[in-house]
Amino acid sequence: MMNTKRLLAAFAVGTAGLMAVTVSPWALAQPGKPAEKPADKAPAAEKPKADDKKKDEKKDGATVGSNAPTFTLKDTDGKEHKLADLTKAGSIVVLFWFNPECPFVVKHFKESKTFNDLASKYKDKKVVVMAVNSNSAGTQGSGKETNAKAKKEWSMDYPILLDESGDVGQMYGAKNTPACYVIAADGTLAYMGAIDDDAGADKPGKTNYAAKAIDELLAGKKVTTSSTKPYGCSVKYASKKDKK
Amino acid sequence: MVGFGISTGVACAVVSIAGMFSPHHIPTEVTAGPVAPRVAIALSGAPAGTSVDAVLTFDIEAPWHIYYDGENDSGQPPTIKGSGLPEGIKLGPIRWATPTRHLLDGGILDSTYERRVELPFTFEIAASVLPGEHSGTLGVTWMECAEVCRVAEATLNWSLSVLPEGRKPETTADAKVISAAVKTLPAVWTPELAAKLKDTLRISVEITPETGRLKVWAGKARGVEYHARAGSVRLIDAVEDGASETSSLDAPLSIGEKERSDPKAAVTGIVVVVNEKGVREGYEVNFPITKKPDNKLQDKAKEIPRDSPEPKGGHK
Repeated sequence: MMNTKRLLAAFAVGTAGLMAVTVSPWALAQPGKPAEKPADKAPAAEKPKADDKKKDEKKDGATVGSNAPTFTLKDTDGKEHKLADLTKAGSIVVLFWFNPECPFVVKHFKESKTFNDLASKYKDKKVVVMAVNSNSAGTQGSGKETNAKAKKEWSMDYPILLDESGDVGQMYGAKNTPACYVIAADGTLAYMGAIDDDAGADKPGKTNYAAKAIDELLAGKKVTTSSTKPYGCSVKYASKKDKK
Repeated sequence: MVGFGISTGVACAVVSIAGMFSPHHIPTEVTAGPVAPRVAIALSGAPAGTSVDAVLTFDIEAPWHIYYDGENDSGQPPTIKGSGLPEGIKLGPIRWATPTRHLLDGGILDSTYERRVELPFTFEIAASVLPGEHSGTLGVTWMECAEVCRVAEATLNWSLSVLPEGRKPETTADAKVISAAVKTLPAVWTPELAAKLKDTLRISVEITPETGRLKVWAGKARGVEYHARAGSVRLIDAVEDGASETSSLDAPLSIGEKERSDPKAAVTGIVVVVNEKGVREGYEVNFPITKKPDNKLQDKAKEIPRDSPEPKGGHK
């Protein structure tokens, strides 16, 4: 009881000048004792701006539960792949962003066979795995030849899509390699984030989030872990200047 | 004379050191990689039951960078691990220096270090450690990026003199450098510091039922930045809202049910104020996302603005 009184007394002293902001009814984290109005120019009391709510909800790229951005991209053999065709055919699609020279990608092909195992495990269950390389021309791991070589060396039995403009990568908001996206057969994004739970560059994790999401989708269940924080090397997007 | 070796996965360097305690000063003889780590120790010997300041310095060639332990879009922060440490001797955590914003095309935002960064840590010597010479290795890993990214590592051999009781520790030539590195670390944003700086700097986190915001007001500063620590509640749009070229910052936080129900959820990281002279001053913040109090308190809080729980101290 005493503590409550003290707390309320502190509330009364507090927030006068220092916390000249919209005061929440239930939570306001602020170190120090809020004080009297300062001598210097204090921040004026602010009301949320008209666009604040919109801004507060802003998200870049794809969103779980919404339709996955559609695209058409060519692979290292020049074959065209349309996302819409795959989902129309009722396939679950796994996209992972790829850079064969990124240590975080390399670990999934050398220390383990994460993506190859994923592709082979679900091969007969209408699950399509595709790598996407959005690195711009001349950057690390870019180019048709480099990726074709990696595909062969690493026995990747699925396509590597080339997205040198970075348009598809940016539609998805892919920021690193190997960021991973699982698209349900109805075309909605079911999972986005890391492929697994080990963000280091030396060993794979214990939980494969993409496999978990696929298993749940195949079982007609809701995907329980629909997003995680992806890890890896930055995608080497073309600069806006170069794109003009 | 203490032997010391370093090797990396992407480059090799040969270094040697001299010192009674461990690698307290490490002149690099050859450096093949763009990032060269060094370790310096403040004391040449220390008694059991004490800790010894050390600093891990990275010299980073332009245009390379390494990473702060932040909520980055890419990269990986340096790690330091003691391998084969004698019982009773352990390493304290790395203390993170003030980073800079590194924004890439595609809205990829990282908090990074360039040119040189000094990351203090400590050797903790338990009271049970017997006097004498002890040795082990330090494994250092880091990710270095420029146009390409790669993970590198170095192994440092070290030895340590634990002094008999009553014998005074002796400082090394690096002690002043280490002390300076510690002093340039971000100041831990405590209630006391907040009160002291209230007329020039205010940092707060405001949580409403709908959203949350990190607010900074920094008097006449030229700019303000926020670098979220790994695991922190993130900003909704760190690219747009995580830095300001004015004296204030008002950044919406990404707070959903998950954060509200997690008692450990907090806004942690480093607030950087670019002062009138252009000097970057760091403040280490830790604002827990508090839970909804009981209804009785909530009703009263509607009438009387409530204070917040005190933030925890930094990452010591």
